[in-house]
Amino acid sequence: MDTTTASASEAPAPAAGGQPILQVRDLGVTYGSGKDAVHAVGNLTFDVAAGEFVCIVGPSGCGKTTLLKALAGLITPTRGEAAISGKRVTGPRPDLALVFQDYTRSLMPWLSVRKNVTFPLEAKRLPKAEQHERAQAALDEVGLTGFEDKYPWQLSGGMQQRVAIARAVAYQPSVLLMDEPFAAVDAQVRADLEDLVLRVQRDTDVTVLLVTHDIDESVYLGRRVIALSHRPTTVRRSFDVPLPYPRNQLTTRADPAFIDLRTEVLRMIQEERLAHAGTSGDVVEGAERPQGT
Amino acid sequence: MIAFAKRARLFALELIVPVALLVLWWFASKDSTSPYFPPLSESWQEFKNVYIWDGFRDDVLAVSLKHFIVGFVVGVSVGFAVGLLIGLSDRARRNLAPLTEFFRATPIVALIPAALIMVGPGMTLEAGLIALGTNWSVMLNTADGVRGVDPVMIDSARAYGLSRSQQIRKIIIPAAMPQVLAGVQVAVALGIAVMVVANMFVSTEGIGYRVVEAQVNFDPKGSWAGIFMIALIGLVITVIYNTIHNRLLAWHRGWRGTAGTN
Repeated sequence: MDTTTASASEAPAPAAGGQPILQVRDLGVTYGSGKDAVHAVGNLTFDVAAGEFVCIVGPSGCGKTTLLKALAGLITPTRGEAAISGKRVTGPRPDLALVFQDYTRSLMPWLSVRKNVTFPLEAKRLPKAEQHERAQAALDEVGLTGFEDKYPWQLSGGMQQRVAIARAVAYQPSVLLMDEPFAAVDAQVRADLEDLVLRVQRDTDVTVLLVTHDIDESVYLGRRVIALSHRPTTVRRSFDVPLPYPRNQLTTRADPAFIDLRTEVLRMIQEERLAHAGTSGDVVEGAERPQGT
Repeated sequence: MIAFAKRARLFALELIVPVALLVLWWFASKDSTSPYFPPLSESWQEFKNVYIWDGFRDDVLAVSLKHFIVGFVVGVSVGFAVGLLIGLSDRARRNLAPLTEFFRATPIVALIPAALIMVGPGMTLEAGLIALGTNWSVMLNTADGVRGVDPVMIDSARAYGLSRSQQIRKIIIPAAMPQVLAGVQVAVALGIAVMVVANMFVSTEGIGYRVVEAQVNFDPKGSWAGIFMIALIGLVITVIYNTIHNRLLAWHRGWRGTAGTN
């Protein structure tokens, strides 16, 4: 292993040097037991500062979705712990929102766009007026003004993911987790949504932890990129992204610093893949799907 | 406009066949002297005499439909509640499986003789049989629908802090509703059948009894008149069901139409 590999005990520090809002310590998730055990997440330790935008990349099947589910309190880690604002994650919590990859499965097809955004607020028992206000503000923010009374399935894929983002924004979390949120849309829409998330992050100052398999995207969006190793997953390395905000699809992506960094991250991921070629890794993608959660 | 014209044409086509058959029947039977095959005009006259409106009030409303509604409401409610439980709990499903499999495989009308001995004739028996007849399809469909709810949908609800009971009320039940209603649709048809058969065998009133009575008295016109009444009841109940179905599941048709295209 090279010297840049973070050891489990020393957490990659936030670039901004601010107070960590999200702390992950020796987190591990194992599905099943004995001979059939799948170590979806081996041993992860990292911090994310308040207001930071951090992207997580890693070889396929390295347990990224499992990690987000553990952070969101949807599954209980087998080892270690995660804490938000100093409080240990033991279940879903009101200061955290999660945007899933597949909007067709996370939006409710029987609810209008507006209702899809308000149902978590309804569950929180917020006053009707405030629900409405927050939903409208969030839908305006993501550019869906005028589509409030449509059903999600009447909208394009990109617009549906905007609904999912609006739902998260209206929830007003302090931490926003996103699981490959743009993997299901085409390139142009993807670029628009990337810029949308950057704008939302700037406007609301929410802390974003975004998982992606697209290395260019991770460098384009993040203040930091955390690269994960193959199973059993550990933090391979944390890269600071030396690019100023606001980012721009044309100039940022043409910046030599952008190209250098994405090449460096890509090289590392490829090394990681080659080092494990032919081992169990790439075929166990399915183990990330929910089972007994 | 094109869609409207197309729908109007389909609707006309749907009407043409039954209307044509009736017209054919009317003229083919016009001069019939066979006692088994009376002219349609005479059967129709008999229908008007018997069922508009005294027979409708005394046999249909006061007996058959009342039993149907009571039995149907009880059957669908119990089926839905138990189906929900089975769908949510593996343990409930395992424990109830032998029972549900047994009853599902048993035609409800086969229980009529035994039930008659145990309960005796009357409203309790007939409504009870209808409840038993409608219960299983709703229960099994509900259980399937509940188990089939996308785990990602439930995960998003959980992530957004919905309690278990909120998840059930706001996510699981609406998501399972298309399958629940598929079960109700089967229950409507079964319920009407059980209503008629129960009338026929264990009753001295009601629409099914009138048909049998006419047959025993060698009165084919009366039989036909009763059959018209049964067909009308079935038609009206189906139209009511479809209206409710379309209202509740307006989203489902559109959603299914777009699923997988974007």
